[in-house]
Amino acid sequence: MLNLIVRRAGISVPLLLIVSALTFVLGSLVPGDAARAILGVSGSPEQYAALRDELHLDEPVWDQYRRWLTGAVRGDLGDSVFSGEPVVQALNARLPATLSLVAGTTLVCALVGVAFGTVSAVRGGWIARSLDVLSVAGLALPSFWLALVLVSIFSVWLGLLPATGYVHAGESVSGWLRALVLPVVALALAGITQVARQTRDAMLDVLGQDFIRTMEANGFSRRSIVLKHALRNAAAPILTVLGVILVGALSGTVFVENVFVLPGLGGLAVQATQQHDLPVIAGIAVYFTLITIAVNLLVDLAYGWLNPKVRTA
Amino acid sequence: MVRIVRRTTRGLRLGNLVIVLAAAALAAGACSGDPGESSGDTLTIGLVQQPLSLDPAKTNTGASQLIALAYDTLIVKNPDGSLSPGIATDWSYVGSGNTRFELTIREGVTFADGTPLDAEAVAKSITYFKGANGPPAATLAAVKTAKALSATKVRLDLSAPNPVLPQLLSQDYLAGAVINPKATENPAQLGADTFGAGPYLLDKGATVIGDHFTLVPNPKYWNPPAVKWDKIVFRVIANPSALLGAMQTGQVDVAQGDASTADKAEAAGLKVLTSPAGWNGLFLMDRSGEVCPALGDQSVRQALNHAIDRRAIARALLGKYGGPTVQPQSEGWDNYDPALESRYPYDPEKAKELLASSGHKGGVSISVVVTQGPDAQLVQAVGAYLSKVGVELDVTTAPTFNDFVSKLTSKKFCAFTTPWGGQPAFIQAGALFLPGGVGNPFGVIDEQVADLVRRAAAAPAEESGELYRRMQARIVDLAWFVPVVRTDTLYYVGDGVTGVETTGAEQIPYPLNFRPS
Repeated sequence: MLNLIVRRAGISVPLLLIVSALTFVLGSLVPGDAARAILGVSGSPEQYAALRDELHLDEPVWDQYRRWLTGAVRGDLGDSVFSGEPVVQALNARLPATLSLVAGTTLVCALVGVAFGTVSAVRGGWIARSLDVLSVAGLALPSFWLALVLVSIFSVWLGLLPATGYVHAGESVSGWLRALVLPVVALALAGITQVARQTRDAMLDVLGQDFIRTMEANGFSRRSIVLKHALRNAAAPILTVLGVILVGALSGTVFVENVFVLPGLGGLAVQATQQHDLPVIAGIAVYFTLITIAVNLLVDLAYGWLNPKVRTA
Repeated sequence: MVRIVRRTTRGLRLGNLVIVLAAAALAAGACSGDPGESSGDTLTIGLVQQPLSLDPAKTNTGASQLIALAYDTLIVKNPDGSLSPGIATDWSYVGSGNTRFELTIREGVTFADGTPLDAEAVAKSITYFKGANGPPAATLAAVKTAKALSATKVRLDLSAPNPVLPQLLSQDYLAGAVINPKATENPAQLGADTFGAGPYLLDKGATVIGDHFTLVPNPKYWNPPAVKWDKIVFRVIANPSALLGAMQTGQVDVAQGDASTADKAEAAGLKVLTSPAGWNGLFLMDRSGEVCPALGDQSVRQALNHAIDRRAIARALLGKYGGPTVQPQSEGWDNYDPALESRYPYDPEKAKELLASSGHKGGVSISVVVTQGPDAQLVQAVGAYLSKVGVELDVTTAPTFNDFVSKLTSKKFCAFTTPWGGQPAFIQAGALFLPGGVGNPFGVIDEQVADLVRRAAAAPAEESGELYRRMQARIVDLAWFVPVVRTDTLYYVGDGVTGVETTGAEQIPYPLNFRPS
């Protein structure tokens, strides 16, 4: 297990280098520049040139990257071109909203998806058929559209939940949960159907195996067989899907944070890209990469926890 | 086996716990603190544009209300366009020609950290603005020096006449925001904090830069009765539907609206305020025909102005929140002349005649750069009319605003489209009519226009109006623009606030006037 963690940590270093370098190159290819974002339609050509010089925009992108990397290895991801705020401080202020959203989405996908998929596998019939229909609907409905509909119904019409905003759990746990309900539902719908289908297929596969029949012959209750044995054996592919969903939810936050006005990394990524704030864009790429590495590590550890053979491999 | 069962059971219990917690959160209903919740002591203002920075010298209009609250300005502009004392109690040009300007600074004022705000601090602040390479620096380009003559007197000496310094030093143009000289010694800190002498200051702990900004009263403010709120929160909500939802549910008290959501806002019971904001249309840059040869011909440019049905376009795109216009200026500003509105009636036949007489009947192509969204729709509508008279628009849509500005200054495009706010004729002339301005990248000069601007700039206010109107008539006749619509500024106001006022002269409501109702 320790080997696995060390291996993952080792892989993360070159991965971070590649991702950050690509981010700098791709970010610099976005049309426009930060000096234009600051000056807008005002300013003379001389002023524009002076501002470009002040912001080091005339330097080749590799020089900009090298300067950023020198700080990054010491934990300093630079400062925002516009606000001058340290990037680490800006990202840490927004990390809780994004992590809450992503973790909440994954949790809801896991609980609802596994429950739905299990029932569908065991009962079959209309539940199984409705899962097929919902799967298509879940994939077809864009999360930002669903978000607007949810706000109209639950916030504006019924007044049950806040339309926008985020509350830190430290300030109010109930406020934090209430702020997350609609964004999580909007983001989780597609994931729930994916997990449910994966669970159903895996469960059907496991329930058809010999050891299940043996257990039934030995008088184990159906409930015990399904929940304690079949589900555990079917868990590996479900975990894989959950890992994919969690990483996918990171990109989904871009839209959902916009609609629900959550102070997260997704919204910041859009702002920074539009404004050409390269240090912030690179910082977000580093954070997203680290989260992805951590998720993959957790999934691998979970495989080991579920299956001792993997643990000792 | 036993261990496995225990773990599975624990997992299920954890799941149950989460479901119970979520249900409890839902059931908590209105009794818990909602995000962005607004109370009688808290004012929440929605911003549709993210403030680029909190540094008054390097930010955009998205930050202007926030800056106005944290930094008292030298002069205050009122909704009717008149000017009132701010940090400066008195001001005037010295001598003739509008090249020397003096201000008297209010005594006994300190910055939020207790540093005295005197003439020396004001001079340093203006000098910082001039050298900071941000948008206000362009408006202060003619300021040679800013000097403290005494503890309460500041003098600005200019290299060229500038008749609008009092407006530039008001909240409209940010340059009048007085910055603590201790902060300008290390300008990097200005972007994410406030260092002013205004009624409020930033609560950094309750702020996420780019998302929401929380202001709390400045205990050292020189005029305590002006402080009406215990807390003012600015929330950035760029999505119009999300903003409307936040206003409908009371999370936001005041915000700028737009034509796409105005009817819904009105139906939801919000107060919808409107004022004439500016104008939009085709800004023809290639006035000498370097890239688009036909545009060098005045008859062709006039033909474009005759070829479009402005009334129909305004009705379709803006409804009741705008109208047609043929001149590049908004109602109420010094060069606006209502008599010019009849200059280019919709007359496609005349447009065809003008094109034919200039030898450009058919085959005229104009490259236009535009941003995504409503401006692109406007260009599409204009293009449909122009194609009927044989003129084609070759439209390039820029993905971001800064790319749009890069393209329009590249001298590769002949025209652009963007909403342009009403502004003093002197500033507008510098930006759009004279060489060096962003709207005139090809540097075309019309001696008559240049002469009128020169004379108006040095003239006393009572004489400049006539000169600016003559300039406007010449501009409209030259047809350097194809103005199409005049646009309104919209503001939505919830129940808990009064004192919000938007006018043609002061489109962004001055937040110091907002009071609990």
